[in-house]
Amino acid sequence: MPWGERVSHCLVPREEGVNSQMLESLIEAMGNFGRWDLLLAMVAGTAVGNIFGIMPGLSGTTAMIVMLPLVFVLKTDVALFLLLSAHTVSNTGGSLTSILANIPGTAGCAPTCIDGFPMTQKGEAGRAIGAALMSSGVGGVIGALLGLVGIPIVLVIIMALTSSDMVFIILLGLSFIVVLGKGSIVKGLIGGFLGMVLSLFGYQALTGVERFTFGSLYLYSGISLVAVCLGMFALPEAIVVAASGGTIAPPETEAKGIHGLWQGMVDVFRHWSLFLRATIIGWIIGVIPGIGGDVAAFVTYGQAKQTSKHPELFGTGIVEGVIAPESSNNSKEGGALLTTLALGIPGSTGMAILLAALLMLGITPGPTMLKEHLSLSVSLMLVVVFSNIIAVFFCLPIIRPLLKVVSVPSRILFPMIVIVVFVGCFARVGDHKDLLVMLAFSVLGLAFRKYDYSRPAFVLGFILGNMFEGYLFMALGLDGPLFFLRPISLGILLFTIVFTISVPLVNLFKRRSKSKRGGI
Amino acid sequence: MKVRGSLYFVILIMIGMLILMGLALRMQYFTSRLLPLMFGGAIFLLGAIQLVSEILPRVRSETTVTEEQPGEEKKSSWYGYLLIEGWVVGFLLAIYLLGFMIAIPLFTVSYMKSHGTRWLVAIAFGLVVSVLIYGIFEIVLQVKLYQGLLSAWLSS
Repeated sequence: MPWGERVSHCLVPREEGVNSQMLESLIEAMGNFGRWDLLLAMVAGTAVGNIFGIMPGLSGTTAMIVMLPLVFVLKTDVALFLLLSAHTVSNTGGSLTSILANIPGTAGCAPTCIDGFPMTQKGEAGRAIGAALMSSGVGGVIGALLGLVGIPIVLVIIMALTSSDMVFIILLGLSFIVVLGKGSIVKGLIGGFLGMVLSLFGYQALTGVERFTFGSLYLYSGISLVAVCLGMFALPEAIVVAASGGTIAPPETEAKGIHGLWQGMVDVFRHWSLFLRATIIGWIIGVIPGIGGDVAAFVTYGQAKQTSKHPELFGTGIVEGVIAPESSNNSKEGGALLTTLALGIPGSTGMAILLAALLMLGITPGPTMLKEHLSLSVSLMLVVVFSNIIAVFFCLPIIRPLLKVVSVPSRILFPMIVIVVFVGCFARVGDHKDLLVMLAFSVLGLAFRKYDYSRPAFVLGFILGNMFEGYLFMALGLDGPLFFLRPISLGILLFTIVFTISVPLVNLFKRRSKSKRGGI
Repeated sequence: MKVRGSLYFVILIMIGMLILMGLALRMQYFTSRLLPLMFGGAIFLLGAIQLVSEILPRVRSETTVTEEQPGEEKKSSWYGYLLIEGWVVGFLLAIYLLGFMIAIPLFTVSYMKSHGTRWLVAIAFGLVVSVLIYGIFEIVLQVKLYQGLLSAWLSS
């Protein structure tokens, strides 16, 4: 039975209450998962999403774009299950290359490199992967379940947000630049602001003015995020490995195999408070439309470092640095899906593709979606739940062959990484100028790496800078110069100020108490 | 040596920001130049602070808390990095001129051979990688890889 018919058939009159509607839809949606064609679509989608996640430059969004024409060929529900499961799990696959070779498979996996790769270098690749898989899988499941139960509350909050509030939400995200710095706050800020400045390159939608394009049509749409991420993270690492010779990790790492995988999985529950916090923050960021999911992992990494008892160990290869970004980059999907379905506002490019697929099928997401297509909405949330579980089992058998990468000599590994990174970067939109941009950023990435400037802060600034400007002028235009005098805006602003000031103060306090103890 | 390199880097960033702010000042609308000026100015100011902290060791030790972490690899010189970066530039040039499908085996074989791999192994690797890339991207994903200027010139 087509979705529309099935949904309208199961709809319960409003008077019977939201809870009974929800329960009936949940039962009907669960029933769908007994169908072999839907299960097969989900497994295939998960496999494709994971493979796209593993390949640098490609992402779940690319997987959806490639498979979008299938919407017209496959059954409606099968096509939607396939697309959504591919998009949902790409970060799970992406975490593997981030940990093993410092190549972020997707932009959202870039923060995983910060501690994941040093763990590999220390011979703890299995543990890092175990933590990444468990936090991705369970985080994704919790995110989707939160989406199911949070529908009534979230809608009210989202509808209350204005562009003024968005300015301060983005500002709060940007405040994590202070924390993302490896040691020096000044260097972290320079990195973050530099990212923000570079995000302003290109056409400014507000005025129609071209900024810093130097007459190039390519720069009209700004600098490519994929080229920036690959240039800042993947290429510098490949160059450093090649320059130093040898292998990525000590020779015993491969011999250890997936030793530590179980320990990594248990670590997630050992750090349950961090895991839950990161999952919920990621989910909230996913829910807020117009921020984009890639930010979630950076923010949760920064938050984890900020609240840690040993922030100085972040970046040296500790498991908390893997758990935080990995929990959030999958949990955000549940939140983003909720906003896309309930408001018709896609929070990310991937969700925009899903929105397009739904429209192609004659289903209009928006405020009436949860009333008219509740069963479909619940089914899609459950797809996120099950795909995340399948993704973990899909990744387990491929860890061992992937682990061989760490012990491949640099004379073989370097050309492999460079080729995959270049082809992946080109394949995104098929523009060879992206390669030149990536190369330029690899030099900047090397300098950042060598002189201890924060690359994650740079990428966070790059993602949020342009967005900040857009909302700032929108808020100024709508509410005037006193746009910040809204209770929500003021609350977020106050929180941001306290958060930003507390970091250097806490650092100062810690240094003082350390030196006092040393003196004694 | 390390201090000198980082000093040059900060100066380079500051000069870059001055140029950028100069360009921003020429923009027609206030809304277009506001944030580039704000962010550029902030970087310039922070760069100046960093510069001072790099020059004056006493100030430096108070404003930064950078600690050498155990297990961190010994940092290579720029010369070593640039030598490898040269290979990346060469690969990019080969892509522009010859296209991906010729540049990939050429780069793989020449890099591996120059780093002590035997001819047979290098050629075998080059071929395997080329076939894999062609199969995954051109056939499965239907991505048309760039064919290079030479191919365009020959076909015209």
